[in-house]
This record gives sequence, C-alpha cells and structure tokens, in this order.
Amino acid sequence: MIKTARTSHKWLMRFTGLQFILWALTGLYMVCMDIHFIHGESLTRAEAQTLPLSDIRFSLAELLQVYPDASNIELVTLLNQPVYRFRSASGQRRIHLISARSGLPQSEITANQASTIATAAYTGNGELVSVNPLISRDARGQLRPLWVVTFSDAASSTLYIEQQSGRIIRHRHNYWYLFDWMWRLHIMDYDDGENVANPLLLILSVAGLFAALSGALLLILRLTAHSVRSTS
Amino acid sequence: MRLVIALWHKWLALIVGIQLLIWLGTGLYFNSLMDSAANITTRQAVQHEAYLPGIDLFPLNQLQAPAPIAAKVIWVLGNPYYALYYNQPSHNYFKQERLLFDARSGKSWQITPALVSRIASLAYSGDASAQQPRLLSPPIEDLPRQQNPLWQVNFNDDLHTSVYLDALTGHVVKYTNDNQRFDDLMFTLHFMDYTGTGSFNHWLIIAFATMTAILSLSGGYLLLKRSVITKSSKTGSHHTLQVSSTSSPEIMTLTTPPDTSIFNALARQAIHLPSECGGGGTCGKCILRCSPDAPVSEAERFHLSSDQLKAGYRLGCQQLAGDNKTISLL
Repeated sequence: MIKTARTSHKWLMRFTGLQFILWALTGLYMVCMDIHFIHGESLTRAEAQTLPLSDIRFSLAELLQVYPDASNIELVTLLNQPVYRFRSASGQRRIHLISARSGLPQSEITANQASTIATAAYTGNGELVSVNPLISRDARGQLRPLWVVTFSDAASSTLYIEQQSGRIIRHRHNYWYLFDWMWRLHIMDYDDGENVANPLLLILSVAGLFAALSGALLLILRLTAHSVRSTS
Repeated sequence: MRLVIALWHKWLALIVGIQLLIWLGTGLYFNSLMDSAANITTRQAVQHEAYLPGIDLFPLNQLQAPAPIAAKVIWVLGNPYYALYYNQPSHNYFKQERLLFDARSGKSWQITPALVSRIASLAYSGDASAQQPRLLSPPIEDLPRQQNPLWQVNFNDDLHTSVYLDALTGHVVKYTNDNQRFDDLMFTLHFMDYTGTGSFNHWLIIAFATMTAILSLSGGYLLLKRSVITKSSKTGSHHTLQVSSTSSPEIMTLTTPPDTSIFNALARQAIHLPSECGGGGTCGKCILRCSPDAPVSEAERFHLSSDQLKAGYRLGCQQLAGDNKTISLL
C-alpha cells in the first residue's frame, strides 16, 4: 500500500511536478503583489482639480442646441479648463470636447498636451521619456488613437491617453507585464492568457489532483504508522 | 541535507495539504465546470436614457453644491439628473462620494423604494415576484468588495435571484443567484478568503503560498535525488544475493538487477521490510545487516549509530543489491 502510494506519487509528480512548482511560484507572486498596485492605480494621483460650477459660462442648453444628439455628457477639468465631454450618435459615437467657458470645440489632444496631462497625474519620481502615438481599438471595436507616455522610473511606468477625450485609460508598468506572464503560466494559456478552459490545464489539473491525492495518502500512511508504533 | 528536506516536505504537506487539494479541485472547477455567462439568465437591460433637447434644464452653474471634480448627466427611467462627483475611485466598488440633483428643478434627489422596485422588475426577465427593496450598508454578504450602500431586491424564484442597485441612482450594479453564489464560493476557497475581504492579497494566502512554494521545490529536489537511487536496470545482467534471517535457519538466494535497492528487490519477493516512507530513506526503519564494509549513505549515517554501522547494520532502501553478497534480515 505504502509502496504503491510512493510509486504513484513519484511518477505522477515526474509528470506534473514542474507545473506544481510553477503554480506555487506564480501564485505566490500574484498573492503578494497588491492587485491595485499591479493595475497601476498608484501611478496616478487620486485627488483631482475641482471644478467651480460658476466657471460654466456655456450652458448645457446651449450645448444641446449645437449637439442635440449628445449622450454620456460629462463636465470635467481638462488642461486647467472646464470642458464638456460627450459622445454624439451622428459622429459615429466619437468623443467631443467643448470648452464650458467659451463653447468652442477643442481639438484632439496633442503630444504636448498628453505629456502635460500625464506629468500632472504621475506620482512616480521618473522623468518623462517619450510620447508616441498608438492606434488601438475600444471595447466596441472602434479605432481609438492613443498617446503612449513613458516615464524613466525603474518599472518603466507608462500611461495611455485617449486622443479624443484626454482621459488616461490604461496604466502599465513592468510589474503588470510580469503579473500577466505569471497569470499565463498559472492557467497554462501561453498566447494571450484569456482562456482558463484550455485542455492543457485540464490534463495537468486532473493528473495534479491524483499526484496530490497520492501524496496525501502517503502522508496519512506515514503518520498513522507513527501513531501505531508509539501506542504499541 | 536530503533528510532534512524530506522532513520539511512531510510537515509542510501536512499543513498545506488540504488547501492544496482545494486549490486543485477549485482550479479544475474553473477550468471545466464553471460557465459564468450562463449563471444568470433572467438578466435584462433597462432603458433609462431619453432625449435631452426640449427638456427645460436647471443651469448647472446655479446648483447649490460645493465644487465637484466632475459632473455628469445621468438618466433614471427617462428623467435626467445631475450627478456631482467628489472623488475618483479607480473601481466603482470603492467608496464613492457623490451628490445627485434633479436636472429639471435643481433640487437634491435620491431614488425612492418604489422606483427601485420598478427598475428591479424591468431588469428581471423571469416570472417570479419581487420582494420589497432593502437598503443595505456594507459589508454586503453577496458582494464582499462593495464599500457603498446598495439596494437589494430579492426575487422569489428557485435560484434566489438578487438584484443590487445603486443607493442613489437605482442603476443595476450586480445580479446574483445560487449559481453565481456557488461560483463565488469556489473563488472564496481558491483565494482562501475565509474572512470575506473580497481579495486575494491577504496574509493567510501569502503564508500558505510561501509554504506551498517550499513544498513543491523540496518535492522537486527529492524527486531528482531519488531518481538516482532507485533507477532500475535495463542491462539485463543479474546479481545473486544470499538472504539469511535471524528468525529462520533457511538461506534464500535472490537474483536481481544489481542496481536495484535491496528494499525493492526484497519487496518483489514479497518480503516487506518495515517502512514508513516506502523506501525513501527518511524513516530509518528498514534496518538489516550487511557486511561491515558495505557503503554507507548519508541517510544511514543519520539514522544509525557508528557502532551499528561498524557492525554492518544498514538501511535496505539505501543499499544496492550489487554492492552486497550476503545480507541478514533482523
């Protein structure tokens, strides 16, 4: 019995052992690193400039006369001035920025403005290294031009700023990329880490479960052997 | 060294063993049994938004409110409201500081229980009836991460569906039912979140993950070391071993590949030496007597006294058959 338990534990672990080590080490990294830190939430400051409502000289009613199909309307401070930010159905849901002081449309965020926005929000101690354009797609699959602003800190902190809205939509640093790889190794999906239900993980989990159960049996046999001996 | 590691391996396995099986079991569940998209089939989108032009709006700059960080026009069942934001939490479940105003009158506004009931019914496509809305303060059992008060509307269906709605706006924040609660339980087990923090960054799981990392690395080390001792012969050459016993006068002759351990060679003849570890060199129970000049392993030096070693006592699992001509069972 004990020999069978030992032999199966040994052979199953020869097959799954490396993945056990990877599960343990990647899991350890993921539980040790605060998930909000990994998401880069600490890369930008939480406090923001307040927006005195009396500053609004171009009213919502006036805005609606020009953009009757405006939706998701919000009022924010962008580059030190209050702006209306909204989508318009007729403009293929593109995002508009209109000054709430003058009512003038604001052009898309330039590289210079993006570095101003990023530097103002950034909490780290690195210097701004580069501002590069990037075209990505949003959740609806629409093209979304971005500015990629990189800082010179040890984690290569990078902020992604949406050109249409001036919003910081993504925070990245090396810990995030490392976490992403830990996750892929943990769920054994090496291409994009999006599929937990992959057959490789299934095979290793089942084999791993048997490997662990044989180990548990071995442990029980050894511990009970002890107690039998000490009571006799 | 190996024996110390084997000891650690055993005791760490005892501590983390059950959780390790839980990790594997729940991991297998996430891999092949969980289908979160199919958990809640009675979910239904609520159309809140209507057409803004033509509505007589109260001017934002005349609102009686402290300067916010941002303001939004939001909709509740076809009526517009101004939401003023005083913080910018990175997740909606973090504490939110907001004020809400009726966009027509400019007066402070908050959803009523009657409207919450209406929205919950619109958000639910099943046939079951709804119970009265209840305003819950965190911690909310179904939603451990949530730091804001929420309305809870329970439906009298088999799956005990609950709809959670924003305390101020009545917008649906979350659905749950018994399917979802079961998945949540699996995550609670996988993340060892037995205190209900809603997170996997806590000391208990860090402690267990550290011990599991040591457990698996020590296992890897033992596997590599043991592979050397117990590798079986493929050469086909055979070695003859004389086995005597203190309890019987008979002498048995045993033919075996020379690089098999005596422990395993005897086991093949149905002679089982006493053992707790099954021939791993960690328990020190499979003592037998060899020639005094038989090689001495680290495990034997650990388990046997120097007098015993001088007298030829050895461990069956540490001796290769090929190194011995005669052995004596005790």
